[in-house]
Amino acid sequence: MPAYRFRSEKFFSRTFKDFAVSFKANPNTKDFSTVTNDNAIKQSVRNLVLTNFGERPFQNEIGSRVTQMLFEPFDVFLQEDLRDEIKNTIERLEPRVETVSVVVSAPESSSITNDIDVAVQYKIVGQAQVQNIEFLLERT
Amino acid sequence: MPAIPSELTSLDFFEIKESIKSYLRTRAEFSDYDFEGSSASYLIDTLAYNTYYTSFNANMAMNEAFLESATVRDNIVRIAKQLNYTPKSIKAARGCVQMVIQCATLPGGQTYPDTVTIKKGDVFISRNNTDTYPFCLLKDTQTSVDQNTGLATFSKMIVYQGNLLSYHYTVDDTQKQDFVIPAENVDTEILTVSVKPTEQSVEVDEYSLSTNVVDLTSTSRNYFLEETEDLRYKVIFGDGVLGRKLIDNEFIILKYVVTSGDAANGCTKFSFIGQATDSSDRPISPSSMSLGTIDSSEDGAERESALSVKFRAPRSFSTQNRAVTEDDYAYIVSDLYPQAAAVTAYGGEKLNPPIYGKVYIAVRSKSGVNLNTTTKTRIKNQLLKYSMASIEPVIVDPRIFYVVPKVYPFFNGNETSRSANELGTEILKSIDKFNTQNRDGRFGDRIEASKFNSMVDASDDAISGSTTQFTMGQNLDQFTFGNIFTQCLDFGNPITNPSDTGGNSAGDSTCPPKFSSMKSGKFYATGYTENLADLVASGETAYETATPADEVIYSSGTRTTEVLVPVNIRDDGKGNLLLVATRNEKEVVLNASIGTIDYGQGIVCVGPLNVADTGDGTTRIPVVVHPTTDSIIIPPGVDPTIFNPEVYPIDFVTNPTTVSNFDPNNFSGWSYGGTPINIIEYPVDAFTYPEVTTCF
Repeated sequence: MPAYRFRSEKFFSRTFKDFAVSFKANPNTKDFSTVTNDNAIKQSVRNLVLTNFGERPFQNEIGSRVTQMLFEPFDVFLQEDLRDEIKNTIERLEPRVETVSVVVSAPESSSITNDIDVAVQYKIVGQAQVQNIEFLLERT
Repeated sequence: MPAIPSELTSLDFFEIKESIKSYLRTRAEFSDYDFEGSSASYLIDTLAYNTYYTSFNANMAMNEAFLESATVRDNIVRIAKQLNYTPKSIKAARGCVQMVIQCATLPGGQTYPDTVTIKKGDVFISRNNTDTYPFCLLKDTQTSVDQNTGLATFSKMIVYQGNLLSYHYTVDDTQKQDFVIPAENVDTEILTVSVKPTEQSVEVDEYSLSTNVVDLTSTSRNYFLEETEDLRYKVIFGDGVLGRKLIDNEFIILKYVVTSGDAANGCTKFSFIGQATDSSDRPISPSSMSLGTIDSSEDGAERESALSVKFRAPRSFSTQNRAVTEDDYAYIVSDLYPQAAAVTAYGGEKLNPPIYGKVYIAVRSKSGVNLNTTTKTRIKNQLLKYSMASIEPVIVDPRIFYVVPKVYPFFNGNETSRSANELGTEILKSIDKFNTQNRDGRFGDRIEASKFNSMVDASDDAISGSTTQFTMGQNLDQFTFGNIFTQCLDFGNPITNPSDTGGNSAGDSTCPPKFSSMKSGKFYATGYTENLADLVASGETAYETATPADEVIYSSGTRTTEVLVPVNIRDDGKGNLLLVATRNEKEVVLNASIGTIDYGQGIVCVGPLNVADTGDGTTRIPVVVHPTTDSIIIPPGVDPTIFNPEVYPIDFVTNPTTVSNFDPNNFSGWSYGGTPINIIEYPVDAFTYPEVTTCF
């Protein structure tokens, strides 16, 4: 695998701009919508956590085990494992952030809805502000 | 101008991906493609993946379109088809059996039935070290019954390993038909194709395989063979111009053998599982049959591999049914004359002196007999169709080199239960096999002592190594009894010069040559009588001036009292040939210049000489020479064969000795007193080509 040139490492001050993964059309321009800066990073973190190993062609090391772990019985050990897995994944694959904390919890309704709450707090490299991202993990 | 993705033909995913990213770098719209988590990165992955597979697929598809790079057998075969090359099919092992049947007398008890028939089909089974295999008879076989003994003998029945199957097609003009043999492991050499006007008809036409369209007419009953998908073979019939075209409703019968190939080699003992009936349709009980194996199963081979097709197809194409190179001539003659055991061709320019404009083709028949003039003319005329104008093919008999090995294998007596004699017999068997198996392609080849010795060493695990002393022989045969003749024998290899090893060419008394390199068999020469020999032995008459005595006719009860003395020819170590006899256990030189020998060129010239008779009464006198090296070069047009090998196994546990690979003083005879040159034993038998007794 060739070495990547992470231009962002040189140009931290530059804005980040990415497709919105939803691919919904922008009502004004009729073009697909984009996400920028902290939203782009948020989307990236989410993408990484929800990608399984082997999903990306020829790049088996990109992704996390989170989706697979959702099939295990939910207990404190799994909670711990999930937290580590998400933290590791972000640290390994998203150089733009520093993880502050990851909280994995089961909402009260989880016995009915079978989902897990994930709250990730991170700092974008070069910025002092702590960003927050929360998402639900569900078996699909 | 913005850059465009440039690595569109790359076969590396990451190069393609990087190329797309490079393109995006030139654009301002997005910036996150460098981060693996970005949606852009996911999209780039998909694009690169798509490009990668498209180029991979295109690459593979193009590879398969050329013979050099194709890897799938079906594709290789298809390309080879364009070169008119049909890959060799799997080959069934074949064995040869003899069967003797004791028939019962006919009702009435007086006479025996006329004939006994064995039906074709899978009628024998046999096994080798690995498995049991069926063997089949391709045709009904019938033999007559001896009316005195009631014995019916099927001698030399050739059986093929496999199941004899048949399949039929009805020709239907309304559709496009492929006549495929519906099995994988079919030996196409023993495929029979026959055609009947209708299914019910009794009239059957046998079609033969055609590999060449040169002689085909609109009525030729021929078929062509092609390999198609999945290792099947397809039978193709003529189109009405090149071979007869089939008519609607004709009935095609394909009879073929599905075989296990080389796995079934080495089956020795056959059992009969079919049924034999006599001419009165009575079945014969198995207890009255006895079965013997003449040849155990051999010649089974795997189908030609895809790699071999890739190698051979273009080379086979290059011949194009034209005789241009020496190999073309040899190949075409072996095709025109299938009875040839070995064929070699060489241009006249290789002869000494060179003869330009002629190609010499030496053909040795399987029976060992020289071809007669009619056959030679026939082959020549057929060959003219293929050869280039102005080049005249000449069919000649091969010269034969008889190579006589004397083998000293060293073995560890503690590691084998065989005695030295048994081991010797085993080695002789190996040598015989070596001699028959290497029959093809020996023309223009070499006989290497190291290869020969490794063959000997492989005969038994207890053999640690071996030493072989080679001598070469030819017959003097260009003479008739009672007439003076001169003949030169060209051995094509340097002969050991005795002056080089212990003597000098001057041959003076201080350092005379110690041995002879050339010796002939015993014969009787006109004029050299016992009386003359006695006179020479007593030293009273100089042999140079001796006048041949009264005319003598030996061994036929003639009128004379003079008796011819048995003589031999040998060299004096200085380039001359001597005519010698023995009187009272002493050698007597009767003629000191009966011929010459050129050690460096390997040429022995005998004569002028008048031979009255030979030991065995044939016009052949064996001549043996000792070649300088262990590698015997076989010149063009020469057929080498191993003759009368001698094996002396030595158990090195009890007899820790060594044997030199060149030892002219290794006598088994006796030394002649008073002669400065020792004599190695003279050859006894005239050389004859070993006859191969095989069914095939």
